[in-house]
Amino acid sequence: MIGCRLGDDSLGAISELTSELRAKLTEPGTIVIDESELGRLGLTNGIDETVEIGGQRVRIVGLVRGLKGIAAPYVFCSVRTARPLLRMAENQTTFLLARCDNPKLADAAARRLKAYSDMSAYTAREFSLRSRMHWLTKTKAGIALGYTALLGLLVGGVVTSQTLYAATAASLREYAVLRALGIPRWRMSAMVLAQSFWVGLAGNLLAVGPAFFFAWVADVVGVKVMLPGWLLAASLGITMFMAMISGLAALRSLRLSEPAILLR
Amino acid sequence: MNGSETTLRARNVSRSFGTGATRTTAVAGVSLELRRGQFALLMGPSGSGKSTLLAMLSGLLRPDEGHVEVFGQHLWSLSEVERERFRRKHFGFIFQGFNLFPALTASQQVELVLRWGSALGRHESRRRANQILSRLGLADRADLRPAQLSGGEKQRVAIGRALVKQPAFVFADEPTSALDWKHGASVIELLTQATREQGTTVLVVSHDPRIEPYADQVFQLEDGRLTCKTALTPT
Ligand SMILES: Nc1ncnc2c1ncn2[C@@H]1O[C@H](COP(=O)(O)OP(=O)(O)O)[C@@H](O)[C@H]1O
Ligand SMILES: [Mg+2]
Repeated sequence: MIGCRLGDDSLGAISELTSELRAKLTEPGTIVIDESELGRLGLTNGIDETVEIGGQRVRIVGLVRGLKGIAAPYVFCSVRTARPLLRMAENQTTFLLARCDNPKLADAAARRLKAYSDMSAYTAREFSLRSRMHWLTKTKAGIALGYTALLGLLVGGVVTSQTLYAATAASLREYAVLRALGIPRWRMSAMVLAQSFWVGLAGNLLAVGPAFFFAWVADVVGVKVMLPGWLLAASLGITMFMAMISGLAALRSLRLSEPAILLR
Repeated sequence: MNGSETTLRARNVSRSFGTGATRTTAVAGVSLELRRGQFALLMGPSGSGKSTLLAMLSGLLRPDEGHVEVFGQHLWSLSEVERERFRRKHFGFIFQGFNLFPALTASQQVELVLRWGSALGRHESRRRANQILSRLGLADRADLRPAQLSGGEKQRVAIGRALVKQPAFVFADEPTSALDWKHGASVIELLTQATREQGTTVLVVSHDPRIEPYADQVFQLEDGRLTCKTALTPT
């Protein structure tokens, strides 16, 4: 439930709420929801339909896109509509937004406001980080996502290391011939590591397309998936790191490559 | 090129495997000499110790006793790294299987030895690889991978890999056993050609009597002992 002020220059205005939608929301008991939520709310048309929130009837006056809720649907409305729905008194509120004239003073201001015992104060950055960390570490969805990523890493690591190990082990006799010919082992190690590098790079190149594709699909069904540069760089780095570690693991099999295995 | 210079001298080399009751003596007190440009054949029944002896003569397997001297250098007094360098400089090997990398072309298999073993550049390695492949009759096969080559062609690539650095010695363990006789004979002819043209000392291990006529000298091994040395051509 997001009850916000509806003025043109309100702090924390939701950009998806156009001035037209905001005008409609000034009427008490009206809400806006994301169009992708209609299905799970059992609605067909949405606009002008009436729904119940906590036993109180409200009317949908508009739809937005790209603000699909992770657990329950987001409900956008005016502060005036929100208070009774949340059973809050006129003098109660959850968040207050304030802007410093000089953004550089935001940190200091937040620190000073923290001194009051009956509230917390955060800068926009801190609050954003705090919300994301809360979502990631304290909610089931976030934890599930974390485990999925961990599982993906684990499976990916095992698959790459096994593949590289098997590829190296399959050529043990060939490497043994080179060993007999007096070629030092480090040459072969370098070759295995070079292979790991190319496998990692190829994996990354193969993954970029699908990553953007799925982000686009998610966008179409109403979930914003951000792919900022740092995230792409980090996954690229992690993938390369994993490939190289797998390569190092594959080097173990090279130790078995002794010319003696060629003699019978 | 039929010099009489002795290039390899083995004295009393022995080797056993296992311990206690299961201990078997694979090679027992073998002495022999090889000369420059010689094509020597080491024969004997299966399990008589041929591979073990070849491995000790070529610096791949340390003898329990005895010593091996190549160009006056005691092979088994060298450190591991020095022996590796010695093999790199002087020894070529051919083994029974073809042992070619599935992903590399014929020419790349041969190039690898020069680029990694002789630190030659890509261009020069490729030139020499193609040169030796042409000499082995594989000019139009240079860009094919093992899966596209016949058994005889694969073994010729393996010979190219052994000969490309023009080693003083080539050691071959059963180089023809995976081939029919037509291809086997051509392998042996290519090796005798190397003895004539480069003065290479070639030691072939085989139990195939059809190779005998090509050999300058035949060593017969039985239960790890040399039973007879026949010099077929006077040296
Ligand atoms: N690595 C090894 N471990 C145990 N025994 C071995 C090993 N290599 C060879 N032998 C034994 O040494 C003997 C000679 O083997 P080998 O030199 O391979 O004979 P050949 O090449 O003439 O067939 C055989 O009895 C064989 O079982
Ligand atoms: Mg053998």
